[in-house]
Amino acid sequence: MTFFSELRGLPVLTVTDAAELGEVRSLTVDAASGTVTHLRVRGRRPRRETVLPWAAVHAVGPDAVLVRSADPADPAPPPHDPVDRRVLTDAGDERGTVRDLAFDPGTGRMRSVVTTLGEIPADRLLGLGDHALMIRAG
Amino acid sequence: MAWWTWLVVAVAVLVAAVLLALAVQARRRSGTVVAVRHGRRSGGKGVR
Amino acid sequence: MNELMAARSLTTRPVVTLGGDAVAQVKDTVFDAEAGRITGFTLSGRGLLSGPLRQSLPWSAVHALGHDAVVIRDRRELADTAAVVARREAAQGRVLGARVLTDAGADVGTVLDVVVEGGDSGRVVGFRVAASKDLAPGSRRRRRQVYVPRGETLAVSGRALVMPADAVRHVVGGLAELAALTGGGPGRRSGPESGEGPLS
Repeated sequence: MTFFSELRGLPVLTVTDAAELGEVRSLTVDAASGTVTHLRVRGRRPRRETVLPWAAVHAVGPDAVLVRSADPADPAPPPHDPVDRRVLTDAGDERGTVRDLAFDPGTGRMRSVVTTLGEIPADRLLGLGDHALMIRAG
Repeated sequence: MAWWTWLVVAVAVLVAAVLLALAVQARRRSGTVVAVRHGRRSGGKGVR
Repeated sequence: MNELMAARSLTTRPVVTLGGDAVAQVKDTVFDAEAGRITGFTLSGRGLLSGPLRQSLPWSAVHALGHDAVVIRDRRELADTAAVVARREAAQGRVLGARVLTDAGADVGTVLDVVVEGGDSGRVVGFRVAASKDLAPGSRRRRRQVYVPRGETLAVSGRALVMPADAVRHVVGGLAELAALTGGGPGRRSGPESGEGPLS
């Protein structure tokens, strides 16, 4: 199990030719299915963001993330960063903001979302939009 | 009159315009509570 | 019993889909005085310069009315404003500031706010009223605020609400007492309102 906070800022390199693409900026998730879908990488010299599908990740190590290919995801996912987003139940009540994500780096399957008010299991997530991460009340 | 008098006037007019715009905007979005009468619609979406 | 809310506080509350997107914010709250139910909301845009929207939110599209947002299932369920409230009705049915009278002709006060139940019931449970002298005796300059539970037969005519005289006996001083009074206790007859939302 990995936390996003451990990944943030790690260098991203291709496993085939050791080219450095940049550093981990954020993750894109599919809240309804509870999976991490994309890795957002910010380039160093041209500060351009690349969005890679999570399936392209070869390994997540303590000091670097290795990817199989530098091909950007097509189509690009919506640019909602789950971290720092407010959490809202389907009953319309706020439940803090997102601090961190816990997920399995092999499959991309999320275990839980860490919020300012505690941990929420991934099976309670409903959707992530421009306003909030929606969860089932309970 | 000193040259900066016009500057002061221009800034004051600008500030007034911004305040007016904000007030108009607040008014456009302000809401109220409206009571309607039952069953006035025919074939419309029913009330749950 | 879900949380009770003041209808005035619903203005500017964001309207959010189950997917987490904010599509609008609440402008007016529209309710059916006879049935004691919210029928929908008119909307304004979320942007800095956006004003009232052409589309409104019928209650049937509401998933839940919450403390921090009105949750809807899908933005496609928004309807033309005319389907929620006609322009003429919107002008005539403003209840804030309206006179409250009993059916015996006694002055109760003026409406300050409408108290609604959160969740998925859309129930209107009562009114916050600036009490008239007769109702709240005492020579205080400051008018007393009271909560009047919604009677079963409330009529809205022009600028006044007419309620049964016996409902006035149930006037309470605070929101908590109103909640205790309207939360399924005695005195609530079973009528068309059967769907108590078992939410959260």
